[in-house]
Amino acid sequence: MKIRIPILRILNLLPLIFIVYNCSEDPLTSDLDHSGLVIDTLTIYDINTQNYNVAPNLGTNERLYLGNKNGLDIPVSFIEIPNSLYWSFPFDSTIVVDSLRFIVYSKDSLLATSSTPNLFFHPDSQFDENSSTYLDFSGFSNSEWHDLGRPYLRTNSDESDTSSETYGDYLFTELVWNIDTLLTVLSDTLDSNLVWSKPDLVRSFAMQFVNSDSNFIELFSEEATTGDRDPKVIMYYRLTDDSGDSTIIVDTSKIVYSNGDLSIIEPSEVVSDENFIWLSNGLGLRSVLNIPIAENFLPLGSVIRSADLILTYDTTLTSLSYNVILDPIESDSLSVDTVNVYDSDPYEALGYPYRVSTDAENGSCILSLKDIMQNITLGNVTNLGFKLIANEKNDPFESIWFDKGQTMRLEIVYVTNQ
Amino acid sequence: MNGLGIGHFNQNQGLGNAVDGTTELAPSFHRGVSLSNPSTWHNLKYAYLSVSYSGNENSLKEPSATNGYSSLSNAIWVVPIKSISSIGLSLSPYIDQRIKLIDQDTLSFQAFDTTYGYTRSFDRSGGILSFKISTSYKLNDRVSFGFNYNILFGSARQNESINFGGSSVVQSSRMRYNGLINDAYIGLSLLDDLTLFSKITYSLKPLESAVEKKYLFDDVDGDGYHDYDPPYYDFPFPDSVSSSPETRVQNMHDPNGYKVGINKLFNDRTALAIEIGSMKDDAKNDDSILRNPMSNWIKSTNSIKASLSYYPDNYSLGVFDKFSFKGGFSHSQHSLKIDDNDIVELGFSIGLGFKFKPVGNQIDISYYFGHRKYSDVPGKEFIQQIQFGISLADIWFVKRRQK
Repeated sequence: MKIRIPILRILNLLPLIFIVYNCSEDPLTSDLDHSGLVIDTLTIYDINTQNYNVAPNLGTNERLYLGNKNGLDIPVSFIEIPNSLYWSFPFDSTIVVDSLRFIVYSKDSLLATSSTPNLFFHPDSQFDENSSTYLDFSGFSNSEWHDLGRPYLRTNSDESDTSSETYGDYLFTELVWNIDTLLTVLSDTLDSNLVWSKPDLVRSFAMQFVNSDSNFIELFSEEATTGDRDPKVIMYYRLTDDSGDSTIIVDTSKIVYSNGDLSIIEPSEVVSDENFIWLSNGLGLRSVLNIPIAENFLPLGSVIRSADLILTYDTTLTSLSYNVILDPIESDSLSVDTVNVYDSDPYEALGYPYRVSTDAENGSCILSLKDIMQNITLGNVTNLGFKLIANEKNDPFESIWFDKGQTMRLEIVYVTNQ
Repeated sequence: MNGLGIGHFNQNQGLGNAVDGTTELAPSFHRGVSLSNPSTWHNLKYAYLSVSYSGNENSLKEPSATNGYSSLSNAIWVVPIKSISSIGLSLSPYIDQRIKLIDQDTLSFQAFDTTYGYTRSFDRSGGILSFKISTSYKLNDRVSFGFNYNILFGSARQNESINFGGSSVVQSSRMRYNGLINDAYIGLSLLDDLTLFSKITYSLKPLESAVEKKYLFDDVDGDGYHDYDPPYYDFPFPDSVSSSPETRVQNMHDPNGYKVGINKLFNDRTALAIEIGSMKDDAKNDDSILRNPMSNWIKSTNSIKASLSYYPDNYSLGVFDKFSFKGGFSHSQHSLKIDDNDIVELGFSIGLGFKFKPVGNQIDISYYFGHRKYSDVPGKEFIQQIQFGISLADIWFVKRRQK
């Protein structure tokens, strides 16, 4: 007997129907009390702390300072101008340099010329933005520097949109120095064999109050903006183009931005108070924390959901928002004391990804140590303590005092499989 | 039942394949032949390749839940040798381990000044397959023997999770299984129309598992895998942890038991069969590092099955004589290891086969409907299963003369 073709076609469809059968997965509810996964908590007190002093370096701060404030003396601020091809313009027959201006910016609308510092020039590099401190400049003298005098001031207002409500509002003040006399030095070929061909060569400028009064000034540093308010040198020049049938003369300018600046901050005295964890980047106050935990401080195989180090402080003594950084220490070090002032931080830290920072607000500072604590339990990192420092972007004239004692604790929420 | 012990045994889910009907030992494929009983295979005239595919649906009324899936239920290749012996190979699912459980209620946990609501869940996928090497031998016209060498193998992946604070902490485990279970069959022809069949099952190597427990992780991206897919990074970072050493768990499934069936022929094409069976599982899961999702497993199963078979006529040219029919019912009682609770299942099945071509190719379709009653769970579980099978016959290993 032969099977008819239509029957075969129907039969061929049957496997297809099975294959596309609508599978479904509805979860069932059940009592899972016998599950081994449990949430648990651990609180660690008795955290040991030790304050120490490091000569302040605020190379990454967004401001430059000069003068005295809150027990800090800032005798000098340095600005570094890098080498540039523009310094070769005087040797170009088609270019006539009209003028050179050195400019820094302030947001003080009431700034008067009498309250401004003098600018000094030195043809060589005189500081390291990332490491120089007041210890490197004790007895600093500007006698070997070229004095460029005081600046003249230019106040800038918002004139971008006449229909705007902010039209005419004060924006910033420019402190402008005429440095035409430096053109020869900056483009000098005698002692430096074409300085613009040496990319590492830098020129140093310094700002100092000449009459040592109690003036205080705050300026924008190169970290504050992406160029528009950075310290800079502007070269104004006339370009002659006679390549065509006619001669075209264009007045234009070029800018050389600062590539480093630093305020030298000198604390008036070495301070210490063992009753608090005292942090200040202006005073160079830091602290080291030792959390008494071993590698197996949690049950084997646990995973941490949260590990919060909680520090409390007196809100009347600290500004509204103060950023604090905690960084695990990488290598064991000699113990520190509160008497010495260290040239640089004696503790090397692990940094990313274990470095954490947070704003201290409303009387407490909560730092998440989840990542580092988990890796300590895994044996990937050794617990050698933590460095607690103030963020360099904080106002250097502010400090924070964290309470010691039972309010300082580490609260851990973790899950383990019993 | 997937949540009990190491999973749901395929033999407890309706029919084993589309061609054999309710009973395993009694012939229902052809007269004198059951593809599930090697001791009957020498009665085949041709070699057969038979494949069955099934669609299953299990549903609960209370709580309301429906699960459905389809899969290959059996593939078997049988070669009779001179009508006195046979050899066969088959592949079929043995245990289905898929299950997804969640806590009945949201629980709470106080941690410092925060109250967390949390739920736990259990999710397992995978299963165990059975590869059988079988043979039979007809001692004389009344006595025949059969034997299954049953190799169990498979793998599964399970996640235990606890969800709180916006993500789940997951304990992930991987299991690889292996085991050897044998079946010995005897067929005894008491009278010309009355045949007794029996089967003894025993473990040669109880099922064991190699378990690899992964490190706990916080499943930030919620995909159930310990991975990193920016901007989401599961915690801890996958590269920073390692799994626990692989652990071997033995005696996870150690069955032994028997089945006895009797088949009564009423005429050349009609037979009634009754089959009883008992199976014990001497598994030792108490100290297992594998946590059972329901903390219990089937300790023993007693079953009774009956079927009525109507075979096709091998020689008729009539269309209706090519059809076969199978109908039956089954009753099983499973006793659980912990607290001696029972699961009672009652099921009914019907099947229809159509034989074509002179060699006896056959297509089959079967339907099973049953319900299970759990002594500790209100309501019933309903099972529906539909299977489609095709069996192709041919003469294998015969030298054909060239024309």
